[in-house]
Amino acid sequence: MAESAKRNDAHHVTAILVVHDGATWLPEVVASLASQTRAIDSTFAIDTGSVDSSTKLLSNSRIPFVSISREAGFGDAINSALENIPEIQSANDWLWFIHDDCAPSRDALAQLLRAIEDRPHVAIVGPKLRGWYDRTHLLEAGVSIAGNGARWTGLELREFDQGQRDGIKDVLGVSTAGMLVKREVFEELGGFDSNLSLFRDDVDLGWRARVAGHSVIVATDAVAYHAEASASERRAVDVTHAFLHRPLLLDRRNASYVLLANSSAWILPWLSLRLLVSAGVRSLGFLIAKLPGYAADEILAVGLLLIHPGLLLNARKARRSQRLLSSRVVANFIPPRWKQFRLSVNRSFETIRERFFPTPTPIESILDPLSEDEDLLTPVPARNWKSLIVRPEVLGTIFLLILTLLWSRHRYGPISGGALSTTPSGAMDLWRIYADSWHGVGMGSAFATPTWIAVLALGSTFTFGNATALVAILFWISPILIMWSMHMLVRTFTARRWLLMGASVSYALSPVAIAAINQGRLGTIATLMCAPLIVKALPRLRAIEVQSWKFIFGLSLIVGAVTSFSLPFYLASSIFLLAGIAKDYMHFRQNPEGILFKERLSRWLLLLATPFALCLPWSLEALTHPTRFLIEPGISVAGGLANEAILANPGGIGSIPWWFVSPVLLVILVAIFSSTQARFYASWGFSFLLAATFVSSLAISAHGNASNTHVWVGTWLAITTLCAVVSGVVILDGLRERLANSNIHYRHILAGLGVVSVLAYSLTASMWITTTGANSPLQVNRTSVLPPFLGISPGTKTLVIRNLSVGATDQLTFFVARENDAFLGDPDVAPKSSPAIDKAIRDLVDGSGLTSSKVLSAHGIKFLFMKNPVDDQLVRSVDGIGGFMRNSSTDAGIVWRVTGVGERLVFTDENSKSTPMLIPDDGAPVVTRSPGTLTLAENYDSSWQVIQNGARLVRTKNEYGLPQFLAPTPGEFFLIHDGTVRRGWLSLQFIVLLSVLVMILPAGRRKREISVEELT
Amino acid sequence: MRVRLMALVAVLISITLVSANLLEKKVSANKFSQTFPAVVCPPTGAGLNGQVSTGSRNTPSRKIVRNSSVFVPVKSSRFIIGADPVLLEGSAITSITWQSSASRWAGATVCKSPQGDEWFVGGSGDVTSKGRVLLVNSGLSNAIVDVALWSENGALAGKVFTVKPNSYTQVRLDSLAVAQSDLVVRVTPRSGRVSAYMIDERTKGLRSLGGDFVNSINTPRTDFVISGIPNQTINSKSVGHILRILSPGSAKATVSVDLISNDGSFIPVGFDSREIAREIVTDLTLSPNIKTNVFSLHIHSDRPILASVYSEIMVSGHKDFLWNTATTQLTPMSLAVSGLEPTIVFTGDQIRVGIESHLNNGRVKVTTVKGSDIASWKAPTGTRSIKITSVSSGVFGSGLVTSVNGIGTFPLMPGSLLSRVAIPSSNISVINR
Repeated sequence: MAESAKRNDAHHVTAILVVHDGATWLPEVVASLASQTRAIDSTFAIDTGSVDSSTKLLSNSRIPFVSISREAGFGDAINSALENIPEIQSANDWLWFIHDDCAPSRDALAQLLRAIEDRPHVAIVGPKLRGWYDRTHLLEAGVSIAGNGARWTGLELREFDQGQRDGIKDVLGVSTAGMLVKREVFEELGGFDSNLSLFRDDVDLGWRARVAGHSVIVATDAVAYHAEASASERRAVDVTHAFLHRPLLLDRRNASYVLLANSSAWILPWLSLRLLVSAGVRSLGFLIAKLPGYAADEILAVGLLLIHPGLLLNARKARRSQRLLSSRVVANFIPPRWKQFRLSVNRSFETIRERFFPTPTPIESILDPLSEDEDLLTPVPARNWKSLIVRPEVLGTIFLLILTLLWSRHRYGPISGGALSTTPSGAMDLWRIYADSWHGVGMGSAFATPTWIAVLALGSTFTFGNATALVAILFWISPILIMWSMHMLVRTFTARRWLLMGASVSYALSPVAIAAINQGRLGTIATLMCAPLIVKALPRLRAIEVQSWKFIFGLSLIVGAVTSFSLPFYLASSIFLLAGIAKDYMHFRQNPEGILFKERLSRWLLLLATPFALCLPWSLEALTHPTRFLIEPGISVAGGLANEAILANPGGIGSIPWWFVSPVLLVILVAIFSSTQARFYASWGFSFLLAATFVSSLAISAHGNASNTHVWVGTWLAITTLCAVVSGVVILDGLRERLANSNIHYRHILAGLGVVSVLAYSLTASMWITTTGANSPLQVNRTSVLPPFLGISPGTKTLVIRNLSVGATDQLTFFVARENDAFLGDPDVAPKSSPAIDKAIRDLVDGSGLTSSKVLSAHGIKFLFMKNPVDDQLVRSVDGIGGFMRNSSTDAGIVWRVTGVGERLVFTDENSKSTPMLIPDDGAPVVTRSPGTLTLAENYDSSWQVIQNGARLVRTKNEYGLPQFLAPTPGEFFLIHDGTVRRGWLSLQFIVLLSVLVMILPAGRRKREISVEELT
Repeated sequence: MRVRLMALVAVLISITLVSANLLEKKVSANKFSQTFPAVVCPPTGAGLNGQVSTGSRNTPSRKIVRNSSVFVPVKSSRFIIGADPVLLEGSAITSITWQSSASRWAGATVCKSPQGDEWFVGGSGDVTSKGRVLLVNSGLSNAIVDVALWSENGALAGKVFTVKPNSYTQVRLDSLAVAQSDLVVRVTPRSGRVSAYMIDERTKGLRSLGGDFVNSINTPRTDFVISGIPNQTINSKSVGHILRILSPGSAKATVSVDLISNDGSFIPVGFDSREIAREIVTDLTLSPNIKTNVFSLHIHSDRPILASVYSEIMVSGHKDFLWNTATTQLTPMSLAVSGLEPTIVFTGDQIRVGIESHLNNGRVKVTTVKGSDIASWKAPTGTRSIKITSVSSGVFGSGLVTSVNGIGTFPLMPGSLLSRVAIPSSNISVINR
């Protein structure tokens, strides 16, 4: 303390302490001022209307002070102080600004003065700021402003001060907390800008000082501890310009003000744009972090400034009068963009790393100091390759991998067949299919593309946009994914690793899994993969009212993902959720006080509604076609019959024969009598099994197949199988011990029977899938059904007639193809066949259709292709009926050209002369030279528009129900399918998805919610 | 409690399985369409009169002529057919075409749907012949037709004809088979909706020797019946008949012929195990010593053969002839016979045929023809159509129509068979692997 009294310099320092509700920190601040090794020459305090005990503390510490308005800003406070302290005496008069939450270290002033000793050009010097609570936390060592207005300290997140930033350095500005400023310069610069009542006034002052030819430095030997009470929202911001009293709003507004007031004029447009964009991006970020208030602050801040351009003009005028140097002298202190980017990336990585790999808190044991010898007694875990390989998880995976290699031997490449149509090569094609409002399938349809197309397109990112590879890989690895998914679920029921693995492998080899893979059933595979994750969350739904929204939305997203592939799954989950609601309602009626019905109901309803909303507009469309809730994606391939379904075998081509009886039914029947939680799962499994059995008896015409086809009940049986596996695991867990300790009775027999049936099924199923089962409908397909020359001209319609094997019989079938085979999603949006075409083809086949070619031509069908093997009688009939000219006869089949106009767009003039109109690909108009009618060979849809001179032509239906447009005057016409409605729905879907993602992502915290210890 | 649960589970499974199996919709892989294909009636040649008897005045028809595609009702149950063939919408009633040349000849044939393969056993290409083959293309694209010929000299060089859409062409027999007396013609459309007809007309100088339609046979067979051969006796002696036989295969055929008449059934002399050389048209003279005016032939062969009978008759003082061809076994069918009043001759071991005669006045007469070997029945006056409602097995039939111009005969076979085809259904799987 003896040294503290020394004043061996020529400087006169007046400390100005600004106080605003700072009673929390003030005692320590006052104490730190009093204990400076270089005594302060005079101290004066300004109180800005504190409502706590701050003034009392000031009085007690005998610091002279005056109180001013609560709305006064920091600059106002300093100005008031200057009015109350003696006039400037010499050029060595210095002002030391101290916040009421900033405590300088004992030698802070001495170090600051030492720093300026040999630097007469320095006008402003500041200390290194550390955290108030964590005093190793480096807050600032000089400050600047980034081009986007961010406060730039150049420090990493929660940077630990190890002296790495030490030294005396030139900076753009220093914080006003602990700022030592030459009074002469300060007054010459006009003090703080009155428009910056709080925040960023420090950078602004530094900037102005620099362009006035002065230096600003930070002297890191001087340290101050800052609580940043206003910035961290520990106290209210009541200053005049604090609109809505929001600190962030004020900070962002002032940041923009500083940049726009001080920067060179020529850079202002770019700067304004950058501020706007960065405000937008940051507000989006805040929205994602569920901080809408902060998001609004960002936008409002820029808005507030832009609606007062006069303020900026005046500020720039005032600065121009003080400027000696170009504004560009500060360029070195403005951080470059790459530096900001690098720091942001570093911070993001650090945040993520901390979230997933938190730094372990060292646990100190009282034994630690004595444990040196004990270490020798601790057995070192011996891990070798053998021990690793004999682990059940590894063995199970290797087993399934080898099995899959053999099973999938015909699937190494682009696959299609069964319910799976050809995959377009690129993800962009899938996105296009998803976004299109009109689908060129058959005679065209405006049905909503199913959501799973978008999911696959998104998933193609992992295969670098190669959708074909994604689908092939998905089917190839699906047994392993299904196994691991089940593994994740059942490990919550048992710790027995062999049981775990056995159950998971059985699930992956269940009849429904085998059939789904062999038949290309994406919906069932998605269910098999994701349902275990959903079921894993079910126990938490018992106390749904206490579950966070984040959990509810997360679960909804998974359910939504499965729903996007399988509406039957949504139906099944809805049944479960409605059962939950009904049960709650019953409880609530019996005991209104017992449960929080509204809290539970809101979460149930959210679980019900969110997956539906995520699949808009496809899901909404399904409400008008309720049978879709029973149908899975892809081509309508018949499932098995009820007697197969009761054995948990969905049946159909490529499924395991029914007499490979799986133990699913047996396990469920046993578990349903269990007294454990196995009963719960068995009951649901039993319910879904019965539902599957019943539904499998239905036959529906859908997905581009006009014939009634037995409903595939894969999804229902997937849930049944899942429930059976879980029930089995619950029963078997610990059963061995219980049986070993009891006399032989029926349980022993049942257990033995169960285990034997599982083993027998697994063994025989494994053999089947590697032999007969490998010849499944889903196989590599490198050839197209249509001869290549039919696809040369885009949009060319070809009527394809072919005999298809349906069960034991052949069925003569047809479809209108357009230049290529059916792509993913095409069956789902395929329209119903046109009655006129149906009749024309029926007449063609029975030989009575003398006008068949005319009808087909009117529908824009140019070719008739009969794929080999052809029916000779039918060929003769086509040859003879007239209107069909043979084009080619090859190994692939016979092609006829349909006589007539046969174009997509046909113009018929007033003399009934028809002319084909070529629709240009580049959107150029179609030109006619006389009045007439334009007929479009597409199914009728109200979104088809023909526009002439900005006006829409009158649209009617022709005799075949095709859209036709009356063109009263010749000229140029634009044909469009108006996709506004589709785009609207997709936007809504995107908003729903974004909202769900925002709700799932970790929420940001307001600064006031972050503990002060964490902040400083 | 467990017993109750067990019972509940059992009941639920039972109910579900039973209801599912009961409700299970029978999914037929194929649906079928049954239609009568449209039939074609042959055009009337120059100097001839032609009429077509139809089942209804409202039967849609159109002329097979270029640019004609509109069907209009015939407006009469017996309409006159001109120089263009006529396409009649297919129906269950078989229409009959009657053509005659005043005091020269008359003949009848059924209007028939396009056929895949037609054999005509009859006709001549010698100097007396004015016979012709009519090839009618009722389709809307070109038809390509192969015509193959056999004569007493063996197989002749075939010819290929292209018939334009919606038109017909006629080919003279003497141009097809120059100086060949005994012909068998096979017409095989390679493409197109083709119906073929043959008219055998002969003259000697300016004197007509008669004429008739040669009705077609679809395929050679080993066992068949030629029913209703008229047997005219002059001076108690049957005028001659000629049995024309062709074994189109690659081997000779051994043929036996049973003559069936009311005078008894027997094998005429020389017709038991008669060898017929392959690919040579063989004419065998048949002069049975019977008094009945109609008889039938039952022909057996060890190889598929074709046969028909040429019979000469005198009508109103002038010569005429007719060709009786083999028929298929009789099944229930309907015939439009307005203005024809045919005599129907049935042949079979046990004959029992139920017939409904639909008269022009709307009345219906029901008759049952019973007999053995051979029986005949004449349609009542004013009959619009006759319907054979029931028929015992193994019965064959033909119709005989007499007029002042001559006699015509036609086999009792439907002109348009109910075709049952699988209705193709729309299925996008067609364009998947």
